[in-house]
Amino acid sequence: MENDKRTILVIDDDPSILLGLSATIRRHGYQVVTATNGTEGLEKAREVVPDLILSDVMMPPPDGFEMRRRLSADPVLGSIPFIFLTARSGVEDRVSGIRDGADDYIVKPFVTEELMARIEAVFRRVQHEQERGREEMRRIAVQDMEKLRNEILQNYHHELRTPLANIVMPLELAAGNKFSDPEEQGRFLHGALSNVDRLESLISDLILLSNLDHGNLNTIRQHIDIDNHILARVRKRLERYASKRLEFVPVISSGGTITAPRQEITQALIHLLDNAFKFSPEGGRVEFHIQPGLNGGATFLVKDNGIGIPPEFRERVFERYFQESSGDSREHEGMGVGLFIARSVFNALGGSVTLRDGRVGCVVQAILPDHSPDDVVYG
Amino acid sequence: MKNEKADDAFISPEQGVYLVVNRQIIPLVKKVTRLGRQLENDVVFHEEFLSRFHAEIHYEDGKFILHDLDSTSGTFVNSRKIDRCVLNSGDLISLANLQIMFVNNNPILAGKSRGMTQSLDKKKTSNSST
Repeated sequence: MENDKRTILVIDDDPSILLGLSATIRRHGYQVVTATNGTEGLEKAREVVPDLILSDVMMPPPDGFEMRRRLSADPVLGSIPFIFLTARSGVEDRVSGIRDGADDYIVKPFVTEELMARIEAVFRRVQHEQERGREEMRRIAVQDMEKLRNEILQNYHHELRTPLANIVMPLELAAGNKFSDPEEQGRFLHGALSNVDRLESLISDLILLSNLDHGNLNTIRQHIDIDNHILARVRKRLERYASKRLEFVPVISSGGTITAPRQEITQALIHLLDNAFKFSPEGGRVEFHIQPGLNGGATFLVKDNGIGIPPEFRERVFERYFQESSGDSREHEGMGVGLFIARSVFNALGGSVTLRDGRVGCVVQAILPDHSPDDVVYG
Repeated sequence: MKNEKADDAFISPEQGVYLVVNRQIIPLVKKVTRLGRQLENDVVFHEEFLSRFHAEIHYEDGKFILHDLDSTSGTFVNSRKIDRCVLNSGDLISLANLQIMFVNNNPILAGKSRGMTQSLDKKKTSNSST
């Protein structure tokens, strides 16, 4: 490899990402120059003329795409390939930022191998351009992009493996009598159990998604016991956020008995509440209003006092695989299918899920219509 | 270890050696940096599968050496389980579900431990065990 001659300019406004990325790339034998914003990035690009630019997209202006546009006007700097670093939200946006076969993007959070593979892929393409021309490079770029798109959409693998590993590890330790400290044993086994819950929920999601995709979602309505079927599960989910010390306030109005497919409606509601828990500040308050109708229907409201959702995202959050995440941490991990599932389930039952304006935070309203007189309701 | 009290000795505040974890940058400034769940550690993580005192990073002869403290879930560097290991800039330390990047931007110190990361034979460094 001729790595040692190559210089990579890394631009990110998050110092921790910049530090980590630079160390990783240097480790692989490249020279690294860093910048903490777009303006500095443009200056450094002109100064050092790097072989590749690795830049965050979301930065105070000029952002990554804007930098790319400005540099492309320059005859020398315009041909420097770009790799954009971006959060996993809206695949289309990312692809639209990529104008040239030499460009690429990588989705945060990424693993080292993936990052280095993408850097090398871009260098390979540039070499192809020199050897076989631009068309060939474009063709390879399109293939690569398609492959990556599939990888993003098949993110389940990782999401399933992590909780499974977190179940197996404590069990293996216990089976091998490796615990010397009873407190530790208790903590590890409790950790295994909470990962069982995680895995169970992911599997429920996969089953629901598959049923939705094949148009055979269960819509048979059964009587719902609010405490047992809904609140108990919600409280269990709240345990995941124990360190945030959230205040959970169920407000249940009197009315008839709710009828809905149990698994489906519970999973849908859990996603709405999980979202509220996830984006609530420490010590925040989440209200869950349940207003049963007279003939099996209900209106559910989930109110939080978190950061809220900007109007331009109010529909996008319901997209499949939408995920609010800007960092490299897995803090907000998940498949990004929660709100999509919630809306799909309510829609399939003839209802709706919408985001409403709240004075503070976010208000989600889910409507389950009354069942029609000829609907069969099972115990 | 010649000096029993060496644990608290500062190397230099601006030496350019860090741990990067969960978007936080933690400078390494002590001769011994302890990682674990217990509050007495230098770096405390609330991660359920971590031991109370999980691992230590020792600064010895210009090198940073990661020691596993006989932890229950183990200490890994670049996905390999280790007891002791010399750290190189860009190494990824895994403690349970935590991913910690070791960064050494100090040209003098980084030069001393250049080369591929390797597990150290326990016997070679047994005199410095705690």
